[in-house]
Amino acid sequence: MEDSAIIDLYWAREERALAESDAKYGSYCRTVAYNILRSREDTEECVNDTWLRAWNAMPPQRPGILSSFLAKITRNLSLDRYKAGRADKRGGGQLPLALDELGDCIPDSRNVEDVVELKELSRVLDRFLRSLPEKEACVFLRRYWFVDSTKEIALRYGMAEGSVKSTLYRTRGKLRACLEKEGIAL
Amino acid sequence: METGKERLFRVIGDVGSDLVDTAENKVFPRSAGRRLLPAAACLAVLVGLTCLALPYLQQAPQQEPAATEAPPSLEQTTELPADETQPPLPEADQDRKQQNAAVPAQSKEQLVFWDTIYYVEAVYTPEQMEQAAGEYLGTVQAADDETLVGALVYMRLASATRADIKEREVPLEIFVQDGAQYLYCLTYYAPSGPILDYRTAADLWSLGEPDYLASALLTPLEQCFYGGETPLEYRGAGELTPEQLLRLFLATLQAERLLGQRTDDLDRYLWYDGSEYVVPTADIQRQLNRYLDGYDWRPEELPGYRADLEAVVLEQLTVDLTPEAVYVVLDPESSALDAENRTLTLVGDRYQDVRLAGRRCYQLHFTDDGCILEAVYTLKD
Repeated sequence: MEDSAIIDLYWAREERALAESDAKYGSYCRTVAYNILRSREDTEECVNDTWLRAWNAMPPQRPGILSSFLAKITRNLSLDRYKAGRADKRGGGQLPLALDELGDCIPDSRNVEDVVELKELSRVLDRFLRSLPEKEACVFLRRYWFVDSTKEIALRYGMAEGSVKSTLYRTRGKLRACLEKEGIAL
Repeated sequence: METGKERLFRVIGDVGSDLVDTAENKVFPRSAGRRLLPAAACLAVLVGLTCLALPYLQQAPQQEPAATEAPPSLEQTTELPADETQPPLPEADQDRKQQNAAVPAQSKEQLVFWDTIYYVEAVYTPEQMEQAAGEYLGTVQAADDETLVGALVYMRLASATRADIKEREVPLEIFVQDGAQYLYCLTYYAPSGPILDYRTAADLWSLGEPDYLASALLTPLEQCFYGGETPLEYRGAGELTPEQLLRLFLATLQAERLLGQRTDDLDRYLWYDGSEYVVPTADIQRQLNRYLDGYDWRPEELPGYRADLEAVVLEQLTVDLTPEAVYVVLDPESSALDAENRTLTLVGDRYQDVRLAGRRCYQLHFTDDGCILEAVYTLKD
């Protein structure tokens, strides 16, 4: 079914929208969730919650790219669940590593004036990624959006794993410089 | 309370949907180097096979027109000009003829590269060798039944003259065909090709095969200094004496042979005058330039230097040692490749006559064209 038809189902308040979403994007969203949670049970719950969130969001929203819209919901839900799960010493996988790596991007707070709003940070980050070569941006997003391992990224994009690591290292350095230039603290 | 890292991670989730969609769906073509990696690997094996075959190929009668024709099965699918300028080759001796009789008609090797098993098979009959003179056939077959299945490899030494070899450097071309369909053609410039470039080093490193670096690069380096009072020691190429530079020249030749990038026959063809190797100092310098930066080359101080020839005369170019004489066992945990894949620090134990003879550090800097041996020294206990 076309994305626009699925969105129409949501707008028409037809419950079949949930089943169609699951049929088309279920495995995609499960991958996003599992990369963060590393638990099949939590993954299933997150993906089911995704359809409910989507049901509540449409209408009024009419996403341009349904797959990314749904995956974003899954990612946010997974992150919330991960934080709760981590308190119980669950979780694991690539996320702690990815979070550690992101520490490289955090500017020294002494160099900035104040902690910015999330919206402003999001705007800067979006602009930063669009300024990168496409492949570099994709590698960054695979690692820190999808939480893929460097090996998975290497396989996906036909790169050596060492090249993936060095690309990420360079991009983190650039992001840190960008955030410092913008005077952003985290 | 959310940490800065977690905050950043969450915000990354809010970037434009089109960016996320691109990251999910975009297919990037493999880099040229990576696309050709399997072919390059096959090439290495085939060059090795060439080394085996060359002595026999060299027996072909040079005046016969058939000596430069491709085998009939290839004539329809290749447009190669006949190699009319093939240089005269040394005459075969009786020993080689006897060896020739014992050569198997086929030689098959298995090669695992980039997660794919390749079977590389050189096929040549004594008749083909007589007719081909520098050309022979082979097949490359991937065990996954997807890549180059049943492909035909057509290989020829395309050297013109000795001068051409020096100017353009190598002469080896490989044509891979699948039936009548051309898959690709590689021209292989052996003497000019870098022993390792940073991509290869990074690949070897990420594939967990740093031992390959030790066996291909470090051991030849140590072997060429076997028998001296001290092993090779320098922290900058400017410290190297002309004698050490000459040994390093020999070491790099040896390493390139091990990596299938050159052959004894090629060196003999370039420099052997029938009794000794007469190596022009310019040739030595050209080779050294690929591995050293900032060295002081004073060939006139070498015992074998001949001013009238502007060359160094050597009895042999190879290091004839038993494998146990000198070798290096790499310590991967103490070795490191920097994040840019440019500087490789290798640490390993040097064994001499089966006894531990010191812990050594080798610093290599990779450029786009090859690798510079920046420093080699013994670590203190």
